Amino acid sequence: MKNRIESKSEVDVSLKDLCKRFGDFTAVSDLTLEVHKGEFLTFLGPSGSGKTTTLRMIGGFETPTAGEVYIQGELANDKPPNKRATRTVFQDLALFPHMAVGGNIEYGLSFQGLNKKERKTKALKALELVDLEGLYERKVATLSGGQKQRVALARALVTEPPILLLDEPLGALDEKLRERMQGELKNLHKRLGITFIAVTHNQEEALTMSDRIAIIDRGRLEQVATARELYESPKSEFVADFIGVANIIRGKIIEDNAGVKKLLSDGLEFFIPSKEGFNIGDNAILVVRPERIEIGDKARKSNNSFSVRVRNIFYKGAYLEYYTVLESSQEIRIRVESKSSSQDTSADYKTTIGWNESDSVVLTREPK
Amino acid sequence: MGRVTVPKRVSLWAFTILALMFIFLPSAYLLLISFEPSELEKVPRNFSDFSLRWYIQLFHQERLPGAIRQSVMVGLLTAGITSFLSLLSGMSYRRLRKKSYFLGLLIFPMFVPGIIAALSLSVFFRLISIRSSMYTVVLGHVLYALPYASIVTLVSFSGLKEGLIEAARDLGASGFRAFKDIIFPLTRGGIFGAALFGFLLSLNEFIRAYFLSGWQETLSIYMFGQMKGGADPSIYALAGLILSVSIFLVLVALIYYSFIRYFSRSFA
Repeated sequence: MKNRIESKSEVDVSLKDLCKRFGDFTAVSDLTLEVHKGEFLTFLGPSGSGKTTTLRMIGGFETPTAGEVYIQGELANDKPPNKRATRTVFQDLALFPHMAVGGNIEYGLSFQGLNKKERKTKALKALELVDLEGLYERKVATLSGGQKQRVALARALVTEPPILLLDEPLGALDEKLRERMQGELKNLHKRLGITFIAVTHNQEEALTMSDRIAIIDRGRLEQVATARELYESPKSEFVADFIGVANIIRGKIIEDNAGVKKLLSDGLEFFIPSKEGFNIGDNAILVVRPERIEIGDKARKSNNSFSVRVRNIFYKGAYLEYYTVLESSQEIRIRVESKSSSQDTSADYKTTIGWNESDSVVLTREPK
Repeated sequence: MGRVTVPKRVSLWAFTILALMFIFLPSAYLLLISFEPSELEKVPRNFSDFSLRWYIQLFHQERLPGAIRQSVMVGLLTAGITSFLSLLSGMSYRRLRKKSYFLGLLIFPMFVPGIIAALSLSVFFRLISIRSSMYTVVLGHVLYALPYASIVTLVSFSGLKEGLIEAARDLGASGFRAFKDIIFPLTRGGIFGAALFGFLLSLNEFIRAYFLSGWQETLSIYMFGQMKGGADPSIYALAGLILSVSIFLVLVALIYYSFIRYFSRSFA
C-alpha cells in the first residue's frame, strides 16, 4: 500500500453506472454510489438482488460488464484482487484448512516483505484484537463458528487494509452470537477508523451496524441513507415495505372542496403530507408505520381518523400488535407499547384509529 | 430403519465373502502355485514344500532385466505426464461452465476398446512417420491412463472451494502463489493418486505396448512371450512378483491417504 496516491477527496470507493450481466440475467444495473472514507456502509436487499455481485466487483472477483469501479480515486475495473486496497471477509469465511490459525492470519503478511518474527508479532496482535489470544497454534477445524468468524476477520485486518469488505459476515452464526458480533464489528469499525462495506440480507444487522445503508432490489439501487432516514422517509414503496413493518394504502391523488390534496383509496379519503410533484389523478401510496397510529378515544383527535374493526390482537412481549380492518377492507396493523398487564387481548370489536398526516409518507405508486 | 434380522445378516455376510473370494481368489491361487517347487501347476502340499525355486530362476532369464527396466521407465514417464495432464484438467474443470461435456470428452477414451486404440495409434504413428519406441508406448499409455487419472484428480478438485483461492488472491497472492500455497496442497492427494494410476495401469498394460513397442519389449510383452512359448512355472513367480509390487504400492498410497486424513480432518 506504499505507493498509494493520496486522494484528496473523502471518497474511498466510487461506483459509476455499474452493470453486471451474466448471460441474459442482469445482476446489477446502473448502480452509482459513493462510499466515504471511514464509513460503515451496508448493502441490504433480498437474496438475488445483486448486492453480493456488487461487493465482488469492488473486491475484484467479478469484472463489470459496464460502468466503473474507482478505489481511492483510481479506476480499478481490471485490477486483480491482490492489487486493490480492499480485503474481503468471505461469506463462507474461506479459512485455509491446511494451515493453523497463525498460518491463516500470516498468509497476507507474507506478501508484504515481513520476516517470520514480524509476521508472528502482528498475527498475535490481530488475535488479541478479535479476542482470540492463545489460539495461534490451533487447527482451523477445531474452532467453533464464532472463533472461525474472528479468525477470518483477523486475517483480513492484519494486513491493515484501508477498505474492508464483508460478505454476509455473520451469516454462519446462530442468533445470539450474531447479535453480539454485530456490536463487536461496530466497535471494531470505530476503533480502526477504516472503511467497512458489508452485504447482508438481514435488516436488523444492517440497521444495527451501518452508518448508511444502500437498499438494492433486482440489481437497482433503491435508496442510500441512514437507518433513520430509510425508516422515516423511504423514497420508494420497496424501501418502505422492506424496512420494518409498513401499512401501505394505495390510491389516487384528489383535491377536496377546500383545495387540499388527499389520497382516495376505496372510497376513503386520507390527509397526506404536503409534497411537491403530485398532480390530481396520480397514482400514489400512503405509508404509515404501525407504531405511529393511535387506537381508541385518543385517535379521534388525529386528522386521519377512521373507525375500524379489531380482528386480532397479539401479545408480542414489548408491544401489542393489533390487526384492524378499515371500512374499505384495507388491513391496518398497529403496535402499542405493552405497559400494563391489564391490557385486554380479546378482539372483534369496533373502535377508532388515527394518525396525523405528518406521521405518514406519500410516495409514487410503482407499477407491479 | 428396520432391524436387520439374523438370516438377513447371515446372507449378507455370505454374499460379501463370496464376492471378495471372486475378486481375490484367482490372484491368491496364482501366488500360491508360484511357490510350488515341482513343474506341476498346483499349490504346495505342505508349508515346508514352499520354495522360491522359480523366483530364483527369474534371475537367470536373460531378457527379463531389460523388460523390467523398460516397463519401469514407461511407467514412470506415464505417471509423470498423466498426473501433470490430469492436474491441468482439474484446473480447467474449476473454471468451465459446461462441466459435463468436458468430463464426457475426457473419459471417452476409456470406452474405446484397447485393441482399437492400439491399432489406430500404431497406424497413425506410421502415417506421420514416427518410429515405434519407448515414447510411442508412453503416448499410448498416457492416452489409456488419463481418463482414470483425471477422475481421481477431479474428485479432489471438486472438494476445493473456489472461495479459498479468492481469499488467497484477496490477501495478496499472485495466481502462481495461490496455486502453490492453496490449490496444490489441497489437491495433492488426487495428483499423487493420478500418478499411481498412471504407473500401475502402464505397468500392467499389454495390448497397446504390444502394438507400439520398438525392439525393446515391456514386462507384459515378455510375459506373453513366455506363456506362448510353453509355460515355464517361473512365469507364475513373475506374476507373483508384479502382484506383490502392485499391492505394495497401493498399500503405501492407502497409508499415505489415511495419514493425510488424520492430520487434516477439515477436508470433511
